[in-house]
Amino acid sequence: MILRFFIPTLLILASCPVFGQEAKSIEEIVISPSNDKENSIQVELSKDKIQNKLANDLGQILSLLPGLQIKNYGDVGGLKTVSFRSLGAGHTALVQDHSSVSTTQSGQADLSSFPVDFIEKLELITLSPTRTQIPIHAKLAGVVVNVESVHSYVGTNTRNLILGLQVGSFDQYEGYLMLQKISKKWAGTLSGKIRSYGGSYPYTYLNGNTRITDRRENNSLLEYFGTTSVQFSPNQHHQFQLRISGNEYKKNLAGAVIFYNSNTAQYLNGYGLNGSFNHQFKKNRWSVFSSLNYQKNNLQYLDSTYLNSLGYLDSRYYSSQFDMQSQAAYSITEKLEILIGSSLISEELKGKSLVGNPYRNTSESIFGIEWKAVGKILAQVGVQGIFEKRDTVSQNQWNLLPAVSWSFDLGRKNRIGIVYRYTCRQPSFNELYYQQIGNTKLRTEKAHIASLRYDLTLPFKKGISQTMVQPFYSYVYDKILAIPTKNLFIWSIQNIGISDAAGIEFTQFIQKKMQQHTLGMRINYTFQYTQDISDPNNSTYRHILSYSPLNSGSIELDYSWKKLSFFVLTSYLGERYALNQNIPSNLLEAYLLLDAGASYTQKLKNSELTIRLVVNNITNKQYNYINYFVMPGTHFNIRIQYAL
Amino acid sequence: MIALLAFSCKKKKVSEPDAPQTLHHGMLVLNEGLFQQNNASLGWFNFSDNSYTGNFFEQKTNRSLGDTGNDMKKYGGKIYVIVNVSSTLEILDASTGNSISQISMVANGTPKQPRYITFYGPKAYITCYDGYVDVLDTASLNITNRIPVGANPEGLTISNGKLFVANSGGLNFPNVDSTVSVIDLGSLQEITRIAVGKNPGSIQTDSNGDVYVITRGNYASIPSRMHRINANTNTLVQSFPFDASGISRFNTNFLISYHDFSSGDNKIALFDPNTETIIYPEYISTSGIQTLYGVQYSDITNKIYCLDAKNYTVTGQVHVFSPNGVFETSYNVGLNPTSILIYE
Repeated sequence: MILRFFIPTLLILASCPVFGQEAKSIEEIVISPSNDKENSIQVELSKDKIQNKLANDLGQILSLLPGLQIKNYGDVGGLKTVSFRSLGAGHTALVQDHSSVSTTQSGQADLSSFPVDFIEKLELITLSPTRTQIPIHAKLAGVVVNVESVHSYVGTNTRNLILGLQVGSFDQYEGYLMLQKISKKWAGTLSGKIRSYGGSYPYTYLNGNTRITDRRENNSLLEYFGTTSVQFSPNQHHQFQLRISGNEYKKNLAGAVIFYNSNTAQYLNGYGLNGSFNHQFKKNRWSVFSSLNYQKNNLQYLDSTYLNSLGYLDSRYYSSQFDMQSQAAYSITEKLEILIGSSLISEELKGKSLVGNPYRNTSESIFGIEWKAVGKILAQVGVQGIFEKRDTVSQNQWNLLPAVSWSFDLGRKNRIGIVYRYTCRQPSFNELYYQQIGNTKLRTEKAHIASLRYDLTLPFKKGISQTMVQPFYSYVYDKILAIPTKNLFIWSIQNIGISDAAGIEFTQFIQKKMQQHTLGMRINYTFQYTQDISDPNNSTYRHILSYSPLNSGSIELDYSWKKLSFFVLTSYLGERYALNQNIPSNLLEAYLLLDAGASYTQKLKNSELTIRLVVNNITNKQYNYINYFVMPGTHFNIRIQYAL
Repeated sequence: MIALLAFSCKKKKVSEPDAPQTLHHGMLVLNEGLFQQNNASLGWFNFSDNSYTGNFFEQKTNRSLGDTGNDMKKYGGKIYVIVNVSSTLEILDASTGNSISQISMVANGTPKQPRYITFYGPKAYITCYDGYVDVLDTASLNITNRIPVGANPEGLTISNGKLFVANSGGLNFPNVDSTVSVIDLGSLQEITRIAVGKNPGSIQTDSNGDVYVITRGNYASIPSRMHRINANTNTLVQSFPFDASGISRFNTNFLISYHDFSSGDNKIALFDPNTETIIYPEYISTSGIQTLYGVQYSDITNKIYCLDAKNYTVTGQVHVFSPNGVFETSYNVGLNPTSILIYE
């Protein structure tokens, strides 16, 4: 069995070409082994590269990164969560413009609520001890997905106005606008987006031996996003930023296809409001970043076919998070930099379905060090204090969370690094307090993560090749799982699981320029074997965990010539099991998707007009990631954008 | 990538023994499956060669049973299978297992979510979670009446020309129902409701006509208990002090099963409804049972069958015991076995 899984890896590794030697600068860098501040996979896709995909949300973009699995429960607006190396979504921190995205209620961010139209930079960071702009809470998580938009300090946007309209299959309509004004000391940015989706797409599925063709119902969406930010730089050392954003949505929840019963009528409505104030100071050897954030989310779940006495279910939740933090980094010498920081986070959730009105206060402190000796050593240790009240009893909990990496160059083209970290995630408020399901006795879920990384950079004539190979191992215990504890319909959350995962991530990027032609290829591949090792007496002992595909990957080819650019993307998700027992009836089919797109940009004096066309799922593959959450077949999107 | 596909896309064949043309010397097993997985199943266990055909229903119908198989009973020449989340009633030929009809249980665009079925004369009575008991004509296979009862009715039983329905109110938790509806089978009207305790579920009639119902409490401070109803006076006459979650008939006695969801402990007691006493508190050793999910006695084989749901996410087992409670063997079946039918 092991041989079967390693053969594809070896084939891909062996297929890497032999590269030339001439060094040449390249506009786009995909892998960033030389980043001084962190051990990260940095995907510095330009706005154009991201927008060329016409991706519906952040989840669709992240699914192209190695090591990340995106659980996808639907198309536009369908829940999407990210997990890193099978750690579970709660171990992944999502940072947007220097603020941790609140996950107070469910413990995981819904990536479908993050449009990608204004993204400037996307990073996957495994360790970043001396970078002040990554929130401490995120630094102590298993991995950080860092998103920086036009509202970020480091935004590279040079446009004053961006206006776009998009039309797509199944009644998809989108419009977005960005206005930015920059002066010597001030910068103001306003961005907004509206999108609606009918979502009534055809699909087929197999019911026994019978193929059924149907059309998705109750799958529509209406959503608004808006952000405004103001930056003030009184001098070259100080920068202040105030940012306010909000979103509102009305979603129909189509849910899983249930055989013989298409009468669901469930809805999710809500809105979010975020406010953030940051200060950044840089002078000589000091770099200080401080922030205040407030996030509020209201959510309403409606089920108009619920068979209680009222005849419907109307559950409302009100969550809020306030956090403040400050981090200071100081370069003692050119080779030694340290960071200290502290943060306070206060979270609260209210709702009739909850037992009590839960709250949690978290205090976190971090000490980080970067020491360039015998290669580069990055290390951090976090102290996390949790203060909360469970079952009317106040309780405290302290966690010590160390992480270390050591990397060094082997010549000018090779680099090797090793990373270890210990991390934990707190139970979410749903897991603790949701009616009978919640369990206030839950402990934190802990994980040890280790990886080895090899980077190879080979410049050649007017081109570059970058390769990353990263074997990893993770061990998770006190895993938080739901099991029936009262009857089959009433499940409860317990600390019962142990799992481990071993695998390898591979990324290859090649780009070559020939006069006005640019050719690029990007390959991502992840192999992982994630198994249940909870109980040797259990029939699922050493079985692969549910929704943990052994193989996943993508290949993207892009080509640009003058004003035209094209891409072809194939993405693959391997077989996976719908339940932890590895029997044929639980096995879900692998699928391969093929997307392609083209864009044309016409320069007009100081402005430009861009037209993009993308066709997704060209082969009309009928597939689903989560069992019976059917996905659309062939569909297209066309977008026109004006930028000044 | 091509190599990857070549190695990974190979579709695994699921080989199952052929379903028999006619049913004899074996056992039909209804496996509940898991919510939103569409993996309820009807399997056939062949006593001759101990083989198990997990896709018996698919082989007979070329389609799946649906989502959450809840109850299965044989009456006359037909088998009636209740599929809760799919909201269907599957009717099969009892001698072959071939499909006779599939009835969609939907009222005004809302799934009725059927739960359990019982029979009296030419009619079948089906509890539906929308607060009704549906009356099915077993000849024409038409729903002829809908009788309103309490919230989210579960088990139902017949005694003294009346239908007794356990109203759980489970979807109003923690404000659950606590009554048993009494329906006159002549007029098909509810004549009274008897307060029995919080969250009624399983219900059974003894050979004297008394009705026994289990109230499941609140899964915390209010325990799961059995109560006795006088079917002549429609009154609650006795509550028993022992834990109980299921009642099944064993000749003139009852087997009282109990699974403690907190500790994982299982118990099967032998209860005498004539003396209203427990004869043996632990009649059957449950040491080999992980999660007791049902107990059935067959007078055809004179054996007791204990259904084991394991951890609810893996294939379950049926454990076979002699009438004296001595373990004999175990059969591997499907996901969350909930009901069986034995064939000679």
